[in-house]
Amino acid sequence: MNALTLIFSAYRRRKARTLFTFLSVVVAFMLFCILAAVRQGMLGQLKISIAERLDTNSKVQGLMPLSYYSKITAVPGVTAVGYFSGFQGHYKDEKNKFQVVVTNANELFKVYPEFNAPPAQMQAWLADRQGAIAGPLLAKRMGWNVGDTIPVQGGPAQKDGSTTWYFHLDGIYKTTLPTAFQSFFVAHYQYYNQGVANVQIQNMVGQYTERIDDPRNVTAISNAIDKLFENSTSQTLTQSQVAEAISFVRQFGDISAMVIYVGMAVFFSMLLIIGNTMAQSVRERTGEFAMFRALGFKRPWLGWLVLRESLLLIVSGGVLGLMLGYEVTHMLAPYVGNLLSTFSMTWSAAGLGIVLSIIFGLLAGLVPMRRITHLQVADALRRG
Amino acid sequence: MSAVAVENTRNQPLVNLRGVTKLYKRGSETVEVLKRLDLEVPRGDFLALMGPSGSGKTTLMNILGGLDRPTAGEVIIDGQPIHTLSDSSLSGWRARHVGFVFQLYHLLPVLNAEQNVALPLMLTHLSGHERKKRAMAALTLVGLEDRAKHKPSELSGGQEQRVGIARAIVTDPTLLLCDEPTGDLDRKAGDEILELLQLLNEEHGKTIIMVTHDPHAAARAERTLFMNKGVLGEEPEA
Repeated sequence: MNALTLIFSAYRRRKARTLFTFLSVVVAFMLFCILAAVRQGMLGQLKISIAERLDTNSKVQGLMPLSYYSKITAVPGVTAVGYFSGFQGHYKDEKNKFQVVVTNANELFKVYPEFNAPPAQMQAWLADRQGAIAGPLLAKRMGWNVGDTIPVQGGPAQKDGSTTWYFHLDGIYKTTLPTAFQSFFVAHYQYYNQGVANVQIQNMVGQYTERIDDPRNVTAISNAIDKLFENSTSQTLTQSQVAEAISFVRQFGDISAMVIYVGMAVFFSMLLIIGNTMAQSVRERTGEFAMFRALGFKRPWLGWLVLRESLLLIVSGGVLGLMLGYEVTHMLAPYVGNLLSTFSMTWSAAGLGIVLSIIFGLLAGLVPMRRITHLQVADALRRG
Repeated sequence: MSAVAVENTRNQPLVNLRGVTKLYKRGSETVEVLKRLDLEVPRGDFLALMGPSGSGKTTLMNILGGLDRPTAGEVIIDGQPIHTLSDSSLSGWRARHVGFVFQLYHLLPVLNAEQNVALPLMLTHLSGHERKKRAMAALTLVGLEDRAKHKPSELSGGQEQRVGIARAIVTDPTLLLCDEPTGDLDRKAGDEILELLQLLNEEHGKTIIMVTHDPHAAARAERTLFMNKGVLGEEPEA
C-alpha cells in the first residue's frame, strides 16, 4: 500500500461523483481543443499566406478561361503560375469524400514550395497523365499505397458517361502546413480537361495562383494582371494571399472571437465547478485526515497527497480530453475545411492544454490542501 | 547507555506532566481548561480518566498524544519533553510512540481491515511483505485474522473498534491513548473491547490511558483519576 492506493481509494469513495468530475474535465478539455482548432483555423490563414503569392479569381464567382495562363505568365515579375480546378468525389463509400484538385503539375511546387515529394515519385507523376499524388493523411485514411489505382466516384460526367474517374497514385506528398493541407488529392489538369463531358467547363479553371519575384510589387503586378482581362467577359480580381487572409479574418474574426470567448468562459466555469467538487470531497474527509495526522503523518505529506489527488484526476482527464479533442477536430476538419482550411489542433495547443491541466490541477488542489495542512487535529477528530 | 542509566530510565514514569496549563480563547473570554496539572503514569499502568463533559479530559489526552500543546508546563513522555518538539518532530514522535484508539474508530471505509491496520506502517521503511505480516499479526492479536479482507461496512461496531485497536498497536507504541473506546458500542461489544485492552496491558505490557464516561469501563483499569474543571483528583467531586 502506498500513496497511490490512498488516492484511488479516495476516488472510489464516491464513484459516481469521481466519474462525473472526470468526465467534466474530459469535456472541458475537448472544448478547449475545438476552440484551439477554431483559433488555429483563423490565424492559420495568415500564417500559411505569403506576400509573394497572389490569387487570381473571377470577379463574378465563376470560372476563367485557361487561355489566361499564357498572358499571366508573361506579366513582368511573375515567376510561376499554377491553375486549379477540380471536383468533390468519394472513394468506395460516400462517407469517404475528398476534394480532387487538378492543376498544371510542373508548376505546382514552384508556386507552393511548402509541398514536396520524393524525386522518384515526382518524376513518375509528371510522366503519368492519369497520375495523382495524395496527402499523407488522406492516403492513411483511405488505406492507399503508391502504385494503387484509385477509382474516384461522384465526379463530373466524362465523355463516355461515367462519373468514376480512375487515377494512379504515383506519390504521397509531404508538407509542413497544417493538417487540412495533408488531405489533398492532386491530379493533372490535362487528364481532367480532356475527359470531362461538359463543354462549359472544358478549358476553364477556378483559380490562378502566381508566385512573384518581389512582395513590394504586389499592387503593381495585381493591377497588371487584372488590367489584362478588364475588357473580357470574365474579369479578374487579383490579390495577395496575405490580403485575402486579412480580409477573411476581418470577415469572420468577430464571430470566431465571440465563440472563443464564450467557449473559454464555459471552460473556466467547468473548471471552477470541478475545483469546488474537489474541495467538497476533501471537506467530507476532514475526520480521516485528522486521523492520519494523529497516526503521525506530517502536514506536507498529507498536503501533497491532496494535491496529487487533484492533479491526477484533472491531468489524466485533461490528457484524455485533449486526445479525444484531437480526434474530434480531425473528424470535423473536412466539414469546416472550406471555411477554416487550417482548422486543426496544433502541438503547441496540446502543450498549452497539458500545462493548463497541470495549473488547474494545482489550483483545484490548493484550497483543500491548505485546509488539510492547517487542520486543527483535535477539533476535527471530535467532529468525526 | 550504561546498565545503571537503563535502570534509571526504567524507573522513571512513562508519562510525567508538570504544571500543565491549557488556556483557550473563546471570543473575548479566556478559558482555563487545564489548571497547573501534575500527573505521573508509570510504565505498564492502565489508567482510566473520568469526569463530566468539558472537564478537560480530551484536552489532556490530546496534549499527552502530542496533538495539542500546553500553554504552560512540561510534558515528558518516556524521558522526551514533547512540548518542545516542532510540529514535524511531534508527528514523527507520535508515529513511533503513541497509538490512538478513537471513539468513532476513524477507519477508511474503502480499505479493508488489513489495509486500515497497515496505515501507520506507511511511515516506516518496512517492505510491503513485512507490513502485511505485521498487520496480520495485529489483527490476529485482536481476534480478527479471518476478517482481514473485510471492509469496515462489513464489520460490526465491536469488530471495527478491534481493527482500530490493531491499527493502534501495529507499530508497537510505548503508549496507548483511548478516547471513549466503548462509547459507541453496546455493553457486550464494549466488554470485549475492554477485555482486549486489559490483555494488551497485562500480557503485552502496554501502558494505557483511557478516557471514559462509563464507571463500568473505568473499573477495568488498574486505577482511575477523576477530572473536574481542569483539575485531577483521586475521587469524583460530590
